[in-house]
Amino acid sequence: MTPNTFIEKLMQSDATVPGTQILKRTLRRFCSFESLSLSGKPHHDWMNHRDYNQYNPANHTILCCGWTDWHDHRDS
Amino acid sequence: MFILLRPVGLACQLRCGYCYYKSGHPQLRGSQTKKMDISIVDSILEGFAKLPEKYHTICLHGGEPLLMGKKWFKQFVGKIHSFNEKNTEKRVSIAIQTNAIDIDDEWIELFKLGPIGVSVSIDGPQDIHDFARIDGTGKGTYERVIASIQSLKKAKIEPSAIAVVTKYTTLLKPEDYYHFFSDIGLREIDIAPYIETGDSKIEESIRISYEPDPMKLSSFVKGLFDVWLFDSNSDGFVNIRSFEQTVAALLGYIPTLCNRQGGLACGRTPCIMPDGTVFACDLETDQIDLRLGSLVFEKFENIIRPERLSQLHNYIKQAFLKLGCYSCGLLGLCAFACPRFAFAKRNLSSYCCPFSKEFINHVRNRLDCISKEICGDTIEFTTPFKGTAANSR
Repeated sequence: MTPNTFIEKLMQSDATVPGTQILKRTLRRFCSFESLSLSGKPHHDWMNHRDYNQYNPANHTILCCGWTDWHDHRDS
Repeated sequence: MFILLRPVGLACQLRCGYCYYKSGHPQLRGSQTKKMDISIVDSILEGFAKLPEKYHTICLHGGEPLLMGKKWFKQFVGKIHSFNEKNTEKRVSIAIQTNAIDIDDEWIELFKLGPIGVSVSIDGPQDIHDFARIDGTGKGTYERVIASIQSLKKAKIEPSAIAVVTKYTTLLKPEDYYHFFSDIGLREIDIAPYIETGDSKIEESIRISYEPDPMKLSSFVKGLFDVWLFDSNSDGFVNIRSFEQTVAALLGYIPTLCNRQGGLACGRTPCIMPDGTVFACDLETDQIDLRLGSLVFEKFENIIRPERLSQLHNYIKQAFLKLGCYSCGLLGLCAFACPRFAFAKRNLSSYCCPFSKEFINHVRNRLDCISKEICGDTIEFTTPFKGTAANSR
């Protein structure tokens, strides 16, 4: 099963399997990162294209390792 | 763009035993001779206005950034507010990483002006924290940090935290460690295992005192991941950023931390010293010169232009190629794809690689277990930047 299929089934699932809540939360947070990227492309564009050769970090939210990033633009 | 701004350079009231700035890059130490003039902030904001990115974060860092004083801080916040008002299509956010020992009511009122994301440095329970994080008199700082956290929370400011993991941390039960942070009311933390690069004799002695045994570190971090993943339904949930990054990257998202970018993001989180020197990051090593330029002589947008960064990336790429990172298959998942480790004098492959592989496999297994429960099948994991992807740039 591809990660895409897993993500779709996970997000639609009402299962109370331990770990599902935090996985859903994590994926929602990363979706908001992508929606804030310069390209404006949502997460699923990346998932469909899988073209990391075209990846340019200048077009994406990059955070420094180890330091504060939690109070950034995601809630704006 | 995410910027680390060091308004007081490396100046700090604390004398943490493992402080990696003790033996940092000679040129970095040389550029901390004065406090930052507020005009440096103007130069950065002028650059922000010209850069294509809409969102920027300036993280005040140190040393201890609160040593810059309240007057400077108020000026700084005023300039950010003014920029955001004039440039409505852009937004600059403020963050601060502090040792938290000087936070008082006046600072809290200033933080509220922001809004400002406050992250404190706390390593865990008192005996763990105070073993390393002492002030100039040798006294532990735990009680002052805890008091600051409570004051911030009372004022409705939710602090996050960075915790260094030392060899003593790994003696704790992961669940006790996790619940410590939960009990003191933190909801967002990240862990930073102390791993020595061996760039100086000083660091060699620090390694003996602080560096965890790799097997114990692996066991501790895997246990902590399980607590993080399976404690998610409780009210006192504490998010751990590194774990979130690994899970998201395994499921195909582009990781957001610079050290998960296989060197491609180097220079995208620049560090700016009081004299206006711009470094590619806050890496401390004398193995590579990461100065990109100076705001005294050049405009910010020119200093970080892609041509200059691509020269740096090519240089860093050679180090990753030599280490075999591009053929490993874990690039984008591994937290050690960072020049700090790639250029270290000490060969860290025997430490970092097995740890990284074991942890990532552990996360895969846990995700597979959940997938089997929900979907009845396992996941075909992919890896960002695998093989020639990063190599081709």
